[in-house]
Amino acid sequence: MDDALSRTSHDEWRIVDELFPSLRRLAGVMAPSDMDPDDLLQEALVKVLSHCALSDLDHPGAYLRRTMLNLAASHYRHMGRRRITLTRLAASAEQVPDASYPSDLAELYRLPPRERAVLYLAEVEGYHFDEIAEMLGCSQSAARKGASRGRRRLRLALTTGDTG
Amino acid sequence: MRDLRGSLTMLAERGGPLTSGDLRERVAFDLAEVSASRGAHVAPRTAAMRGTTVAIVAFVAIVATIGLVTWLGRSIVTPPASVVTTSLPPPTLTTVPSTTPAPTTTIQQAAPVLEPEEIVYPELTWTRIDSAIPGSEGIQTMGSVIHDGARFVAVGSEETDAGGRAAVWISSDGIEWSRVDNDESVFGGTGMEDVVAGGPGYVAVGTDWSEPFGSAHGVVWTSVDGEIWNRSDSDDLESVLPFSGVYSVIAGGPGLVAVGWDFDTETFEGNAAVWTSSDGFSWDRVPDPDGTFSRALMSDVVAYEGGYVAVGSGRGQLFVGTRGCTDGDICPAAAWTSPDAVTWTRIESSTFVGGFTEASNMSVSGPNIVAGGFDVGVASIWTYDPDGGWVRVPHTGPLFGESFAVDATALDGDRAIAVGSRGNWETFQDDGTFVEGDAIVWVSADRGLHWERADWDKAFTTYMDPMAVMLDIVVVDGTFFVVGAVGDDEAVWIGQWANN
Repeated sequence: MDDALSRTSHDEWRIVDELFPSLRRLAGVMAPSDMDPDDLLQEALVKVLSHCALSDLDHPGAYLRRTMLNLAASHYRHMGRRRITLTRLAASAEQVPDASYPSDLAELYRLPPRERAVLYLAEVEGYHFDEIAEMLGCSQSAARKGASRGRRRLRLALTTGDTG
Repeated sequence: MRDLRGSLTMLAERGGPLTSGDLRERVAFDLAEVSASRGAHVAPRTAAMRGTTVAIVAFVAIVATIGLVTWLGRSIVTPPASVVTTSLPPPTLTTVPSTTPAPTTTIQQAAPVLEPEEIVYPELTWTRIDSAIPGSEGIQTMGSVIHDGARFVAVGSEETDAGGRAAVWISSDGIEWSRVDNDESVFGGTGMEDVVAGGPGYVAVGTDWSEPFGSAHGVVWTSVDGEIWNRSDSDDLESVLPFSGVYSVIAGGPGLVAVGWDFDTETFEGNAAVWTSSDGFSWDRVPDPDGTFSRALMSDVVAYEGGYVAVGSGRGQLFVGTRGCTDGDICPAAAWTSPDAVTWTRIESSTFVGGFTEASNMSVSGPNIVAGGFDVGVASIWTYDPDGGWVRVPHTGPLFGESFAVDATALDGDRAIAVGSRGNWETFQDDGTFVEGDAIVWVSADRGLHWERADWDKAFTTYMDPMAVMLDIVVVDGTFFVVGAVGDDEAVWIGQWANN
């Protein structure tokens, strides 16, 4: 196995710089409430770079997104008994600075990371489901179902407005 | 006005003022550590770790030096597990009998401590009950299990499109399980954390999240036969179980003792909490005049030598990363003792110190306690006996590599097992996917002082499933019944000593 340090070349950092804004936003969406999004992004980068160079990958962005999703999903499930507690508390804490901030966060945090990611990429970034499927390493059907299931879970708590 | 896009955008913008340059520095540092530590587990630094990196590196260097010598010694003299378990009988490490029966209020004499090279680790055979249990429709998790001599009762939760609910499963033999019919008025909007034989028959504890934030509170369920449950969250009960998480309940004190935490919605600080009950219906909150419970959380409680021991974490807040245990904070594991479940003393021990450490579960056999938990997301085990006090099993060699936490432990005489789940670290597959979260089993032959990681077993994972988690253990006549989840379904594993 190559030395991980050798994968910190200028070309590697250039790729990181290009991907940084979009990956960081997605990390914020994917990361469970008790996980720092920056830590999620950092962990994903270290994990990938310790195994291969980004420049060797055909789609480094997709690879990193998939890595973040796997890490977030694993953490989400692992928290198990504490997850609901933590998400409620985190959502509450987020509301402190702005009393008008929507309490939707509590419900969003209860969704699995993949469903949050699909909803974000579809609703905010405006990607089509075939693009989302490619970005997250799942089938188009799975992406659609994720969005549909996420919306259903939110329906009692959210006023979806024009989100469909 | 609430809108989905706005909330999703807020999520996307959370996090600190990280720049691409900051990220470069962090990643480069971690890669340097990875390069320097190839062959040993290295977890990436998280926000909780960054503030103490220098101290940790120095400490790890010392421990690693000592541990490497110990580990190498064991590696040289200990045959591979597969050879040991197929050719040798299980260990016969017996407790030294006392010439005079000890009174129940005193500590029994502990068994002799073996040198690592003397240990022969036992092996277990595992079977997983794979078929989904009828009556389940969402994502189910069995979180706790007991056996009262007549039947198994497991409790946990189910998440569906309509929301979450508590769930109960029962079995007469641990093999054939049935789900107790759902009654939304009893189980809806809640999750069960623990169950005990007591009160009218069985008592379960958990939390109700169905009300708007701020009204969440602890819930107690009672049942005569394990099949029909009643929910007890009257106004009186809610007054002593305010914004609370109730994590563990045992028979003890006036009848029942429950522990958990209570969250102050004004200060955003959590405090450990203890409740007692004589019948499972009426509960009293144990007062804390000296602040023994302040800025802490109790995860588990056990009866021990006529008194009680509780473990948890010394966190002030319940967040990792951006809140609570952040840079520079010390969030150690914590333990308390009590002679009567009413008066509690917090135990100070250097073995609890860590960046973000929690002892989340315990098991007891005679004078020995084994506690499982984690240290910054790496599985950790502590032991206690009257002679040695609290001792932490060193993080040396591959013992705890790729593991998040020890979620449950069980002592069977001198032998013990611990279970948990594997993280993603170092589990990259050639096709870019991960084998996520296989279950992990550790075994001990000397009451938890030394451990060996059990060989991977096909019962611990299924390639296509996202995760296998083992969350609780009950020992019945030397057989381990482990509950948890595989993928979206509840799961039960049965483990038996291979040479029993």
